[in-house]
Amino acid sequence: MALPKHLQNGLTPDELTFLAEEETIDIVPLFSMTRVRLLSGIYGPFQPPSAAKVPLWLALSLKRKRKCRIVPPDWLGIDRLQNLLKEERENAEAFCSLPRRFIEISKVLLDVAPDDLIQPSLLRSLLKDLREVRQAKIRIGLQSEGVMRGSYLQVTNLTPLELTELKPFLVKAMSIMQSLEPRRDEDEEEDVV
Amino acid sequence: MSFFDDDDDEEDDSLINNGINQRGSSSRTTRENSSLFIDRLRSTVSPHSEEIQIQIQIERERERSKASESIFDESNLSLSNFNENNFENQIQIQNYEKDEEDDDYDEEEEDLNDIKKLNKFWIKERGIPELSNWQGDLIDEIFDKLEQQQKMVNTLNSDPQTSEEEHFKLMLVQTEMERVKYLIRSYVRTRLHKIEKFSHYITVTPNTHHLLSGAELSHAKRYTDLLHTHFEHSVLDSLPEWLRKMDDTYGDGLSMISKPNRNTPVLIYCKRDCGEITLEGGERAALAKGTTHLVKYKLVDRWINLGWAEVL
Repeated sequence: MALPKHLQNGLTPDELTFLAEEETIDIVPLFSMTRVRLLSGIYGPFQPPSAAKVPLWLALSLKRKRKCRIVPPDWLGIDRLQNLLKEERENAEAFCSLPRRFIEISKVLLDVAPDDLIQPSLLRSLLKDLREVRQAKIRIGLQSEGVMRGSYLQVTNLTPLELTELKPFLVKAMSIMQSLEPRRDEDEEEDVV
Repeated sequence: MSFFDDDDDEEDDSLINNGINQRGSSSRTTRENSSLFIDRLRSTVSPHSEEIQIQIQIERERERSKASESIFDESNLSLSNFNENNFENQIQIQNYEKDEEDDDYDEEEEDLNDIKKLNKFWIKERGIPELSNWQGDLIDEIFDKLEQQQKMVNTLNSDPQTSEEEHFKLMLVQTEMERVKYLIRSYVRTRLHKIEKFSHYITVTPNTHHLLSGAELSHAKRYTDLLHTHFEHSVLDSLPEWLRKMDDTYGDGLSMISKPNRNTPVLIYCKRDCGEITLEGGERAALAKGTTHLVKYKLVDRWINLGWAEVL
């Protein structure tokens, strides 16, 4: 098989993390180095007190070698997350707009660079709360009447990772509904005849 | 010609495909002009490489420094290109903002680098049920660059004069190369999976052929042949004649040839207002800018192919 079965349903969380690692992030290097040219662009120069913009994978790789300090993105702060959480709780109808890959990015940053974040354990629990509030909303949303009936669902502001969790279930449910639909019509016709 | 120097043809292209074609052909001319590796290294630094006569044996020292410069970008030329690039991007961003009302074409796509583009195509290929266009020019371009990087890495790695800092940079270069190779592999495998799954359909439907590369098309044909020969030899030949067909259609319209199920729902993010679509039940759904939907592929494939909607 060219594509293993577990990959056939769409992107996996690991692959989404891979994609998230292409996003750029600021770092403060702890070593000096001239510019480096990579396929995706030119990064640097790296000169200790000044920040540099690099892809996340590069930042993580430097961080693992203790060669830089990662500047967390502005949404990954206690105040911002508390506000978002509050907003998310108050708004029962829709989801808040969050950075597209916030789960993946915050996860790798918490794993690799907790010392660059302010109060990482509090951040971790805030992110977890945020995610649980959203998951709860998704579950309630799915229970509501008619969601599974049609073949269309609006999922604005859900991030790709959250959708990845949902997609196999939804696609399966929709295809079962589809295969049931025409037959029901035929039955009705037969009944009429 | 510097190998990241694609800004001069980026401005006038209205469509990405166009841009890819142009860049693909320009890299091909470079390849023809300079078959020698040294020429190619040189050509990344200086645009007049062909004029310089080189003798490989005595050029060891200079080759090394050229390779080093071209990876590590310490030359003024590359520097100024980089700045231009930035400037270009700013222009494009401004254009994009202006573009809000003017829906003719997508400027936003243009300031993406090749790797970002490949990311996009990979996500799309994974997300939709049928094959999309083979991005041959983009892949060629990336292969060219990978090859170039690989040669520089080899040259510098085998050179005892390479400094500690250069080795560190080489490691970063190699890490990125592995990431890009993974991406290409996964992209090709995803396509291969679809091609093998729908090989018979592709073989008998000539208007899908333009979506495949030459190698993919011949693979699809050979795969179908092999599969059919195998079926015939193992089972079908011992069945009565009227049961031997492999392209029959049942009474209820179900064909034996499996083809992409365009009813599969896909996740899309609308990058601009895509109007309204009519769902099965006669209901209408608005695809406004910035919204995300799970919707049947056949209802939105035009927007996906136009690039107005992005597959997630």
